[in-house]
Amino acid sequence: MTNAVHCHQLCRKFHQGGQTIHGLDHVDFDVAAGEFICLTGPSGSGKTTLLNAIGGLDRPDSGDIAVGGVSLNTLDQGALADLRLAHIGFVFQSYNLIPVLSARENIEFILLMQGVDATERHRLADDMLREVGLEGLGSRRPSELSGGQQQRVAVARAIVSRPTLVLADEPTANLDSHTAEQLMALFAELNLRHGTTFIVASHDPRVQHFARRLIRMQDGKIIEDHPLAHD
Amino acid sequence: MPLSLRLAWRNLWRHQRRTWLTVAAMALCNTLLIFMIGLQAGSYLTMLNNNLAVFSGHLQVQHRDYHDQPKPRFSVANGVALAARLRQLPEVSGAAARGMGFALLSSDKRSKAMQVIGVEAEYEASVSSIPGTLREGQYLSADTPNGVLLGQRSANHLKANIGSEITLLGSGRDGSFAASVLTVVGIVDSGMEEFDRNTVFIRLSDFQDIFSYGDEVSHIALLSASIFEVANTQAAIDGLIADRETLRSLDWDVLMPGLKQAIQSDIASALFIYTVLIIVVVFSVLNNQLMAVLERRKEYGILLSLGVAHRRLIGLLFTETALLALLGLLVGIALGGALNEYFAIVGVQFAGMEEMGEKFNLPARIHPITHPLTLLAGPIIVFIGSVFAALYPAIKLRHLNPVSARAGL
Amino acid sequence: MSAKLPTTHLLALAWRNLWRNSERSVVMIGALAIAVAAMLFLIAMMRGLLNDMSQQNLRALPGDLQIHQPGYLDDPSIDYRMPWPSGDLLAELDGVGVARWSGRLSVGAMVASEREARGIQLIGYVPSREGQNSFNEWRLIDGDWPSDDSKGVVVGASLLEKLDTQLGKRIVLTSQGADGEIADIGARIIGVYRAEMAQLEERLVYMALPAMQSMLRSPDDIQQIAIFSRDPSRLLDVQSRFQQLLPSADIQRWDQLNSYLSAMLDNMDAIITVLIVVMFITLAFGLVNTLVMAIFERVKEIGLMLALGLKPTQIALMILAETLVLLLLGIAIGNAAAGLALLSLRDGIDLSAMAEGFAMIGAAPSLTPQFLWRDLWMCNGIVSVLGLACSLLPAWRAAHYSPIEALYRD
Ligand SMILES: Nc1ncnc2c1ncn2[C@@H]1O[C@H](COP(=O)(O)OP(=O)(O)OP(=O)(O)O)[C@@H](O)[C@H]1O
Ligand SMILES: [Mg+2]
Repeated sequence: MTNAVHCHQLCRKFHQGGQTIHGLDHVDFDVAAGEFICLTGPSGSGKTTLLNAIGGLDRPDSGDIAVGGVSLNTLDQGALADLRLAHIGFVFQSYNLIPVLSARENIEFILLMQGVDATERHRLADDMLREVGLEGLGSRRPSELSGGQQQRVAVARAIVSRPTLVLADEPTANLDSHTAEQLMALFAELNLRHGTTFIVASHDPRVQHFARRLIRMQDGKIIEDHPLAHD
Repeated sequence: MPLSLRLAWRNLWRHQRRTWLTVAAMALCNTLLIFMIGLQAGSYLTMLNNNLAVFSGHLQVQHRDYHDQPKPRFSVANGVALAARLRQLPEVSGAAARGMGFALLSSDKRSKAMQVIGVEAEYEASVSSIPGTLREGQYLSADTPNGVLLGQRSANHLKANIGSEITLLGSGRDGSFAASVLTVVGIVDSGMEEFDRNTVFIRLSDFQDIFSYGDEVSHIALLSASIFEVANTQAAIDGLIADRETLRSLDWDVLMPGLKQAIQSDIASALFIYTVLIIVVVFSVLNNQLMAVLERRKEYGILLSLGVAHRRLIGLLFTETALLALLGLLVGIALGGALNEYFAIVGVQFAGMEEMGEKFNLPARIHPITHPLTLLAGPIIVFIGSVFAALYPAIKLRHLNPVSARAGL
Repeated sequence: MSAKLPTTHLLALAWRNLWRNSERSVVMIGALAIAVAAMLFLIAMMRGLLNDMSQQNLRALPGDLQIHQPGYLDDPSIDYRMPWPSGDLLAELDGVGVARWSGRLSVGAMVASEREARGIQLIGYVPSREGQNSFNEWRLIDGDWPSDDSKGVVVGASLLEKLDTQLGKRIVLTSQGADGEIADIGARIIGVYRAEMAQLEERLVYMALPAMQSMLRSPDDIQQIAIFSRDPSRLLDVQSRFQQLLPSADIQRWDQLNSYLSAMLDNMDAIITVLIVVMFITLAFGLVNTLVMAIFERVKEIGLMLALGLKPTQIALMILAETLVLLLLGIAIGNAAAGLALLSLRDGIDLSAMAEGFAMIGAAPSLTPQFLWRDLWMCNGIVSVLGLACSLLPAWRAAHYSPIEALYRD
């Protein structure tokens, strides 16, 4: 069986003011389909950089990445975009929603591009809004939602198209602990029911509580990688 | 440079590309305005000079009623003597008396009704360009009694050459029968088709004999040193003829009302284009400054919270706009001036110009004029309009609330 | 699978993006609308003026097509005459392409009353053959137009005044006869007309053709055949048919008769195009600025869309759609404004205060704008095409942002 994600000797350097920063420093790891990984580490350790590389948003300086057995090095921008659209759900750390679209439309946006027909789109989006606890807020624009509500819309958009791989960067950052747990429970359920692979970058212990594998990074290197046992 | 000016200048360059685009819009508009206004001024001046210098003159002295009712009986007595006195005036650069009549002219092959003009042969050249356009033969003079000068086209029509005999039949001033046999002495080409087709010249003394005018003339045509000094010259003339109640002087504006109106209607349609151009540019400036104010809300919010008064911020905005407009003005004047200078040398030629030239007696090329007025009029209006464009953004700024502005709302 | 936003959604997104910064868009649309409206208005006025000049030029002797002897137009003398049509020519004239036709005489003449003499243009025509749309359009203020066999003349009101005479009085007309000798005739003034242009009113004197033929001693001869075609769009065909029939004759369409006017008519489209392009370029700087700013402040969002899987071409299309919506709005409002203005002026603008100026360029002092659909399409087309061209570069740049760089820019 092919791995959901395969990283081999990934390096990504940033040059800033004459200094070289190792965003990723020879990162090696594999993710099997259906895993639920918590990616943790101090601020600036390279979590976002790694997620961007896996999502094909950023090209590493060296090393290989394969998603679903397809090597990203061989794909051009257009093919990478298609790959993201079809297989990957993204939740970004900071800027997530298109301001001119309502919450429901933001969720539908991906489905629209995938060519899903209108009634199906509406149904899926409404289901999704309910699942993330935003029932009735679907017609609001992002500027009319709180930070946490916006974050939930972003999560809903990332999973509505049933991607095989979800890359989430601090999805619980703006959420109260109750909502955060609800969201993680939703992730866990999707993971169990559909075998969706999750890689969630977070400092949040509640995320670790739901994850089944922990990868800890520091200075662009993986310093810890082990399964998490839950009772 | 005072701090506020420096601040305004720096603000201007926060978005270099945006600023340059707006400056370019203003500069282009200014260049167009300078060029078009220069071209208009150039063509009007040529049109005036050419039209007036051909025949009518800048001014005429006529019988009081002649202009409204051009009848032979409304004539100027002792015209030749009066013309001589007018010629003495320092303001007058040329004066010549004329008689105007209608007659049927016949060669041995053809006949045609035409205007017959009696001219003072030795002075006509000082008020009209026609003597200078002699194509064949010689001009009228003391040595050409009963000589007639034909236009190129009327000569063709009458199938007459130098030396041909032309019979003139008409009616005299007193209603009597006027007839004479004339000899063609020369052929001229005024360049004005209609005029050329319908006009012949004879000596004033012959005219007075044939049409029974005695010592009367129809008018005295006068030229002043330039079109801009007509008013002065007219005042001098009026002084001289003050004692003769039946006479009055008329300037070109009255003599050829069509000319001024044609120019005016041309100016009106040009003004329409200019206004639209200027509005479009002012809108560009308005947008530019509106964007500047909108994107600086947070910053304005902070400054307002710190205690900077609204009016200081508005002052800053206007300073910035004025600097922007000034750039457009300078670049525009430089480009427009250069363009004008270039075409002043080369000349501008339009489609249809040759045909128009025949109609209005214009040369085939027009040379734009560069004068402080043609150079500055357009750009200054654009400048003022642009500064006014900051009014709306300023009003928005005026109503900015520090708290919501800081939140970027 | 390929990521694609359906057009309707693309437009909907463009529409919303446009109203995000509504003031900026309104200002831009306003500028576009003003420019478009002004251009359309000005073009219609220019066309109207030119049209009027052509019409006035023809007023004296109307006709879609005019046949003369070669040389006549340069030297309108009785020497250039031809017999009244017969045979093949007559058959063609009475054929299907011709609505009606007539023969005319037109010579320079001198008219004298008891007090005054003037040079005029004497026109002989067959009243029964000339339709309602010819000279008769001029207002007859006194008396009657001639009948085919009448011997009287119709003069303009201002000529009447200059000649110091009145209706019913006799005048003497003198010209050159067909034999080269002087021909004169005494005639009674039977009608007085008013024209739009005093210039014409003073020059044109009308009489019935037979009376004029006998005065000029050229029975049966005419100088001009005027043809009114049944279908103006097929005038060229009719012209070439007559030219084949009369290879040596000078056959001119109405728009060729005056060299100045025909040059202007030929160049009108070019002049209009230059005008629109110049106006647009002035506008373009503001347009580019608006577009660049609209993209500049949306960099993050564009990054997000790219990250979500939207293709660069789709981003570019989105920007183009936004520009298109902006342009179409401006154009629509501009067209509506120009339409209203032109509609309210469809009966003509009274410019009698400038009558002499208009007379000098050969136009009546009443200007009726002439609207052509062609001008509308040309103006709208040029503005849309150039407007979209302006957005190409910003759109291309937006499409080539790198997603994370855009997303994490501050
Ligand atoms: N575009 C960039 N240019 C320069 N340096 C960068 C860039 N992106 C990331 N870095 C640097 O790379 C390192 C890793 O950054 P990254 O964003 O991956 O950290 P992170 O683990 O996501 O941190 P956080 O928990 O704060 O989100 C940091 O030192 C950061 O400063
Ligand atoms: Mg991060």
